[in-house]
Amino acid sequence: MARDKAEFLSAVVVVGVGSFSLYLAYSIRSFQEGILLGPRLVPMAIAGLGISLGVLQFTIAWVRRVASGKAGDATFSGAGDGKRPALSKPAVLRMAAIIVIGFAFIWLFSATGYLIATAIAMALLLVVFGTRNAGKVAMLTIGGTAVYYIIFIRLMGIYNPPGWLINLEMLGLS
Amino acid sequence: MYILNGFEYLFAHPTALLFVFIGAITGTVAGAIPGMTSAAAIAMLVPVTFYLDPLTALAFLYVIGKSGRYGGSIAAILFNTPGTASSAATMRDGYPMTQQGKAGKALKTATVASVFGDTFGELVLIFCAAIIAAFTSTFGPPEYFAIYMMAFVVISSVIGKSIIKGLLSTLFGVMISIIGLDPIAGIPRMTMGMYSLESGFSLVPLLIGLFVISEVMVQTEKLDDEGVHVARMSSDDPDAGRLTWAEFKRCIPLMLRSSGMGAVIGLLPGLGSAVACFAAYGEGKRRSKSPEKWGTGIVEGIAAPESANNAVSGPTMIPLLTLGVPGSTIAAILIGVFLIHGIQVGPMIFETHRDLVYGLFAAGLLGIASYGVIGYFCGPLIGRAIAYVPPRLLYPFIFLIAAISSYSPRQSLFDIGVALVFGIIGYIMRRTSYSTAAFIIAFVLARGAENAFRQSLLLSDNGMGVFLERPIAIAFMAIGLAVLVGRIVSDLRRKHRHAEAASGNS
Repeated sequence: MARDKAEFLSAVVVVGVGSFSLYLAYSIRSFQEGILLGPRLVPMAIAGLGISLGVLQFTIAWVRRVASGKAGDATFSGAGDGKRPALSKPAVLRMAAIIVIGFAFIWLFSATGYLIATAIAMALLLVVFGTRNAGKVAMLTIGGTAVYYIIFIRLMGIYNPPGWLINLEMLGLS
Repeated sequence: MYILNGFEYLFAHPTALLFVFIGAITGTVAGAIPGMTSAAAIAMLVPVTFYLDPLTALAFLYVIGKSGRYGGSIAAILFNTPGTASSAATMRDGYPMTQQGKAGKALKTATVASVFGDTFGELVLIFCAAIIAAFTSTFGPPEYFAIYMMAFVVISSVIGKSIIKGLLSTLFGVMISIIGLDPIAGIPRMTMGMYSLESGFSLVPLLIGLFVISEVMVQTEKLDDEGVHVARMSSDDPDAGRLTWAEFKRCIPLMLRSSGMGAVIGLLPGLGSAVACFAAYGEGKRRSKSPEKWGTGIVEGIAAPESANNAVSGPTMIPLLTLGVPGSTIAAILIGVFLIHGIQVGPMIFETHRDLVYGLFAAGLLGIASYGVIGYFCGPLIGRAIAYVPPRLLYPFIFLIAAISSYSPRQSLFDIGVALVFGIIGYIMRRTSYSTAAFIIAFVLARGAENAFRQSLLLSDNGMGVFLERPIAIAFMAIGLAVLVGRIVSDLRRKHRHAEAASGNS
């Protein structure tokens, strides 16, 4: 039952994405080159195919739902073997936290530069992943940030922009 | 022979030699970390190669791919967790051997079999690639378009358990690839008015999102588990820690057959090591005089899958080098690296960059020897070191490496955001059985396919009929269609058998 729901949801998402893509593809400006050579053809064809497959997927999920005793192995079978365990709430919260930290890292990188952004993100990630000892978090954060800074910024020469909020250039750390 | 020139070219680049060795270590360790695949390691290290010459860059990543396939066997044998999908069959006999105190024998068997199979595959590549390239150099845009279509259909059909999801994953990859400026008209396509999207999505952030960040998210599901534990690695049996000459001789015919299977599977786009290892294991067991022993901890049960999965490595480069079509995720990444260094892959590469190509083959052979030596003498040590570092300490560091690696190609914070978004998308795809491998291969091929299509129409007076005028183009499309139909028929038969079995049991 859960797998059927996942299949329905998947099909709806596919049709939705395909429809949005079709709209974007139709919005592409096209000159008088003929439809086959124009920039719209491939995007519209891909979007159309996607919608068609999404409708087919929905139809198959519907048929499986309606027909009794047909669990699993339909010709175009659905979500794998259905044996993936459900997510626990702590796992979902951890994943959400990791993504939020990732986007916060982007903001911090712009605002403060690589060094501070990495240090804050590393400390938060270590806590989210389950390291509770404050001393260990501090040690790993300081050591890890230093190693990453030396390797990526100093040795590889990756550009470290001056932060618009805190600028470490004055300390020679940019 | 050109391969000797290749060795000469390789030895004239000491940096390349150093990076072959570094790649052997890196790939072995990355493959041995449960959940960390060699594709993920390569994705994170691609930005490092921007600062290297083409031979060093390609050799480094190529050897990581090879040694990563081998490294997965360490986790499979010691932790009963496949480090990579290609080592899943090795667990069946590898871990029981570890439980019997024969981990050393198991690891050495895996090392010898991997070296055997990989060398076999590399020799197939060296001797066949140039011959095939001479044939494919006569192809024009219609033939290339047909090849791309065949690749899309074949990969969609064979990857994963659902044809529809394989096709959708492929279409999604094509759609993402299209975003940006049209290559002929220069018009923004599907950019939603965002300036950042006008140059399209960069390959590296997509790779990192789909393979690294999604894996970090998968690992957060498992944080409550106990983590990896290494069973005892010694026993009273004096031969427990080594592969005897008699055992090796017994495995030679098996390794030859398995390597042959792996090489053929490697030639076909989309199948890959995971298919090869199970196919070889199943065939080895079927032909064995004592099949009941398979799965209880015998060296044959390791030799077969390991030689097959590593024999895939070399032949997957054949469609890449001769047609410009990647046969695997790692090959798709390597296409990107070729392009970054200004090298167009396809049959002409054997004319325009012969030294580089044969230097890469030589690096492959040297890399095989390197990881063989490292694995034979240091495999248990690598396993213990990985068991010592818990995932909760490892993955924060991996996440931040992924972030800076996605930033570095274009020095763009937008690319870090792309990696994060595609990390979420990749995670959802994995949970719902869509194929990230099909997505990335389609992403790499899509622009080439569209260009070939539009060039074909420009060259033709007959519109779409140009594809029906070329016998080779028709042949490639027919192959793709045959694989799709074959898969549908196979699924229908399987469904029918299950239905019969179910009605027989009720």
